[in-house]
This record gives sequence, C-alpha cells and structure tokens, in this order.
Amino acid sequence: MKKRILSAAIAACLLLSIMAGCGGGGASSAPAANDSAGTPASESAGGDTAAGDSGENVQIRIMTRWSDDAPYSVYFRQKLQEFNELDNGITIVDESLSEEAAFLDKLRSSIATGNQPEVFIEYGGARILDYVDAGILLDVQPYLDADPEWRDSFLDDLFDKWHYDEYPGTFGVPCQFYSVFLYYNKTMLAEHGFDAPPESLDEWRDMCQALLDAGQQPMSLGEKDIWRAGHFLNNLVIKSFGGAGVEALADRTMKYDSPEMTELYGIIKEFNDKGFFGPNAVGVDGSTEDADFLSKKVPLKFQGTWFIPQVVADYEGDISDIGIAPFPYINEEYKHAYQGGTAEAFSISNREATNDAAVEVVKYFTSKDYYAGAEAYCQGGVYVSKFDTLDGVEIDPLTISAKEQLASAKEFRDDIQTYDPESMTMDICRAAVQGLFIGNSPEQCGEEIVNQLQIK
Amino acid sequence: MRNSVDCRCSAAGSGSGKGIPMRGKHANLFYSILFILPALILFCVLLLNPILQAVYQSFFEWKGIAGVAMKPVGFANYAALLRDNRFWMSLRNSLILMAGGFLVLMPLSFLLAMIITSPIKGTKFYKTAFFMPVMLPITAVGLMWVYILEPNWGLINMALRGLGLDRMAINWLGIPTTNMVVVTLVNEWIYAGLNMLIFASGLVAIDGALYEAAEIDGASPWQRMRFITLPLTKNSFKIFSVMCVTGCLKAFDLVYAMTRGGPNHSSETPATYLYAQAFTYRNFGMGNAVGTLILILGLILSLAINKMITEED
Repeated sequence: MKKRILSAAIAACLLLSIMAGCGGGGASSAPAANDSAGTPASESAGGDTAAGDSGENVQIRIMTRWSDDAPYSVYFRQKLQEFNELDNGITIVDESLSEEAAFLDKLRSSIATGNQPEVFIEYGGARILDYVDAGILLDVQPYLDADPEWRDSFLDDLFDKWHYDEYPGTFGVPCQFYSVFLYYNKTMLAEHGFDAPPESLDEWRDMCQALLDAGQQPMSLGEKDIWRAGHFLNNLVIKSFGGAGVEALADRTMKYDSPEMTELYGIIKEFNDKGFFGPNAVGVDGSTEDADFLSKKVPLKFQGTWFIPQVVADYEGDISDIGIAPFPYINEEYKHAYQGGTAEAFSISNREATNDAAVEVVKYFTSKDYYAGAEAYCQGGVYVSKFDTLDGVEIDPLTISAKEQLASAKEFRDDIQTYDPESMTMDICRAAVQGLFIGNSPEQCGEEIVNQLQIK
Repeated sequence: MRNSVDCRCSAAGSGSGKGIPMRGKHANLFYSILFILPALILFCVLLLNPILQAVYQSFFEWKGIAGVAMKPVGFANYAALLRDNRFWMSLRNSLILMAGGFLVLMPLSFLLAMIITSPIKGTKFYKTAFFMPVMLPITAVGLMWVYILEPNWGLINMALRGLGLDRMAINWLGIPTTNMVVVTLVNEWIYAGLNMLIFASGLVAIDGALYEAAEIDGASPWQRMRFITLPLTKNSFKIFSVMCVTGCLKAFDLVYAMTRGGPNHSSETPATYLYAQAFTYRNFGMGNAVGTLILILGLILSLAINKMITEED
C-alpha cells in the first residue's frame, strides 16, 4: 500500500511539473499575428524582460558583434559596464556574439520566437525589410526629431539603408562606418622591389605573381568565413561598374549569371587557383587571415576600416610599416568608388514597455562622447559621428590616411546584396562564390546563384 | 496471485455478482494509466506536438518572424525542395554516413564488444577507454577534430609533412566528398563506444553452455561465431541498424561543428539543410518540409529494416 501511495505521489508530481512547464510556456510563445490595423507584432513579446512603466528597473538586452578582444569591442564592454554602474533604472544585458554566422543565427532564432533583444545591430536594406514589414522594428524618427542635437551629430547620408519608400520612418540608428581598403606592408613590399601599392587590378595581379615567384605568399584569405570572398566580389563589382552596377544587380537588369558577373567570378577563381590567397583558403578562417598580416607572414590584405585599431594594437612591428590604399580598380572611372558607408545600425524591437529605455541605450552608444572616447581608446578609427577629438589623443597614421583618402571618395556602396529585393540573396551568393574555391567554374557559380534564387 | 483470483471470480460469477473483481480491474487500469500518463504526456507535448506542427507548417510560407501570419502554399515547399540540388546532395551525404555506419561502425563496435566481453585482463579499462568519446560534448569533439585536421598547421598534416608525405597533407574538410568521409570517420570514432554497449548486451545474454557444447562438437571459432554468436545477437544488429539509419538522416551537431555543411554545401546533410533554410534563409516552410521528409524517410527505412530482419527470422 505504501508503495502504491508513493508511486501515485511521484506520478502526480511528474504531472504537475509537466503542467507547470506547459503553462509557463505561454509567455514566451509566439504572439498572435499582426492585426489589420498594423499593430506591431512584437508588442506582446518579451514583455517580461522589463518592468517598463511600473517604475522598476528596466532590463534592455543588447546584441552586437563586439564580444571579441578587438580594441573597439573591449571599449564597448567597458562603456556598457559604466552605463550599468550609473544605476539609472536601466540595466543593459550584453548578448553579443562576434562571429557573424553565429550572431545572425542567434538573432534570427530569437526573432522567430518573438524573444529578440530590445536592441540589436543589423545591416539595413533588404536584410531587415521583412522585419520592417512585420512591424517588429521601432521607427526612431520621432525620437531623432525630438533630440535634434543627437540627430545632427551623425555624418551625412548615413540613414539611407534604414529608410524604405513603402514604410515611412527610420528603422535603425547607424553605429559603424566603414570602408574597405587594401592594407600593405611597405617594408615587405620594398624587399621585393615594390615602392607603392597596386592601383589597378592588373598591377595587383602582377605584384602577386612577382611575390609568389619570389617565394612570398602575397595574401591570406579566410574563406572559411564565407563573407571574405563575398567582400572581394563586392569590391570587384563596385570597382568595375560603380554604384550603378550594384543597382543593376538588384533590379536584375544585370543578372548574376551574366557575362559581366561571370568574368568577375573568374577573377576570384584565378586569384585562388594561382595561389594569391595562399594555400587552402577555404580552410582558413578570418582570424588566421588577420594574424597572417599582423605577424608579417603576408604583405597584403583587403579589409574594412574596422581593422585599423587591431593593426595599431597587434601589429608585430613599427606601425609606420603599414599603409592603406583604395581597393585596386578595374575600371578607372570607379577608382574612387568604395565598398563602405554605414555598416551596422542599432535597431530597436518595437515594444511599448521598453522603447524609451532602449532609445536611451542607443543614444548612449551613439553619442559624440561615446565616439570621442572610442577614438581615444583605439587611438583612431572611423566613426559615424561628428565629434571633436579629445585633447592629448594621438591619432594613428592609418586613421589619418583613411580619412584623407575618403575625402576624395565619390560613392559608397555596402554589400551588393544589401540592395537586393530578396533578403536571402547575400547568403546564396556567398555560398556560391565559396564554390569557386573548391573547383566550381565561374559559370557554375553564376548558375547556382540564379537557380537558388529561382527555387525561393 | 491476486490477479488469478480475480480472474477466477470473474469467470465464475459471469452474469451476476461482478462487483468485487471489477473494482480490482478498474483499480489496475487506473494505476496503469497513471503510470503511463507522464510518459504519454511528455511524448505528446515534446515529440508528437512539434512533429504535427512541423508537418502543418510545411504547407505554409513563413519568414520566421513571430506574430506574422503564415501564408498557405499547399505543396509548393515540397515541390521546391525536390527541385533543389542541395536537398539531393544532402541525401547523398546521409548515404555516405550510413555506408560508413554499416561498413565501419558496425564491425568496429562489434569487435569492441567482443573485446570487452571476452575473459581477457583489463576489460574495465577498455570499456572506459572505448566509451570515453561518447561522454564528450559533440561540439567540443567536432572542434577538436577541426583543429587536428586544419590544413596548414593541424596535427595530421604536420605529421604527414614531417614524414615527407606533403602531397597527402590535403585540406581534409575543404574538399568535397573527402570532407564527408572525414566527418563520417569522426562520427564512427565517437559512436563506436555507444554501439559497443548495444552489441555487448547481446553478447552477454548468450548462454555459455552453447559455446561449450559447440566446442565439444569440434566447432571452430569462426563456426561458433557464424552459427551461435551472430544469430543470437540479431536483435542487437536490428537495434543498431535502425539507430544508424535514423541517426544518419538527422545528423546535425557534428557536421555543423566541423563544416557547417560547407564549403559550398558539399557536406550538407538534411538536418543542416533544414537549419539553413529555416534560420539562414528565413524560409521556415521549406525547413519544415525538409523535417517532414526526414521523418517519413526515417519511418519507412526503420519499418523496412524491421521487416527485413523479421522475415529472415
């Protein structure tokens, strides 16, 4: 009898625990679909993360890619800690992940469950169009207008990727400005008889071949991280056709399997097959690529301006060894067209209870003071804000050089697929371009992109 | 004993006076249900419910944004799936995993089981050593092998170069097909210990008298294996086969940790393809369609294996 009672009690406990589990799931499960009046879908989601109007502490989760040890990331985390120490009723919880694929996977999974962080970085354009359409992002324009000093502190024309013709408003606050340059090691190049970086693709090709012939690996490419060759392709398009080419790809007047694009895929394949990117590029990750340049294993590397602070901090030699130059042009007309502009912006999940606090957090991380501090901490860098350099701060020569060269920039375009009407185009393109590194032909690359886009 | 009394009463009193035995039956039924219920609820909530939801959602288009209505598309997701080379490539890779399972893992696990159930010294040590990879987190094991196989400074290629075999020092995870073979071998390395236990449980259940009798009759070791061990461990082989086939169809963690399905989808499995559709392309309808097809394939293959082995009996 005792055994029966005990067994029944255990069964009841199990049942109760299951029921409790099921009941608790309601708060985190997906909210109801958008109503016809366009009520933001996410207003009911994630409400338990913040006390909101109740006067209690508001918790704001923030998700960026600054979780690594790069100087800017370290600075970001320091400022976040300082914010939390203010004890101003808002607590920031950092959910950042530096690796892009992992970051995007985590963000997308959280959006699918309606539990995305209150503040997160995204890349604008087509990549967030679905979110804007679903109403899960806060229109920050009223907040910008209410604080003209904050609104006018940004460099000009940075908000374009966060404006949509069919959806009035602004759906992100720029937080990262970048431009892709060719970094070169003057000393190493001089050792092989080169006194200047390549200006055109032909010069670049010749230089790489000469270095290779002399037993010097010209570059590394961490194509295990598929965005690396993706960026290479961006620059080839921009330096061949300028912004017009990017738009032509987006509206399909120039197709991804067109002869023009096939020729560009051919350049990537040629560079890889000839060994300009080093051996086994597809087995090398981005960090190794960075390390190869910083440790003087290779004299050339193309990368965004976000790499400058890392060069300043980690280069194993005198910083004056390093120079930066525009990515070599293919068509001289587009010599001053750059891959760059606003890289990332803070988007805010549209939740009534946390919107004001989230905007406060975003203001903090995009203020003039914040960027002036970042410049001082990183001893340079290119930022989205118009701020005065702090007294006594010595800016590194690479930042100065980048700013000088950008002064003559004629146009900026971000990743070419950012302007595409289909949000998955970037992933499809990058994966197809990766195929060039494992034996696929340029024609196969173009075909794969077009076929995958058709399947969707 | 009590049940047999109840039965007798019930039979004797048929048509009248059923009160006492029926109460007993009801009580038994009540307790039976009570004991089954937790497992049943867990099964329904955690397994059946997601499966049914996945099947249902496979007929819709959904961008993976909570709260946004799903758009019904009928069988369009399935049609798109069958047109996609990547899906067929992922099935091909599952077949490679299965082939590895039957050609390498099965004999290896059986051999390990023979070792740990034999009367040799040190079986405790062997058991622990063979089982160790199973206890390690799959992601950690995957990453460990990624570093061992790294093309430029990984242990294997360094060793090959050290031996003067530079041409064999290839990009193990970056070459299509080679990468799947490597992942398959790592998979066998991990799961050999687990499957060893399945075969060992079958081996220890065989009555030792059978071997003694066979030995007296002059049976050779191979004959004892052929006519006693293998037939009497048939159930272990059945369990292994079903687990291998279904496991290979839904393989995700190790593949994702080692290659993420790349490069250029060359090591994609149905599960990584599902993940890419759902979370990379935000194409949740397609993702669910892949999940449904994996389920159907798994069921069909499991039933076929069961039937095949049962028919042999």
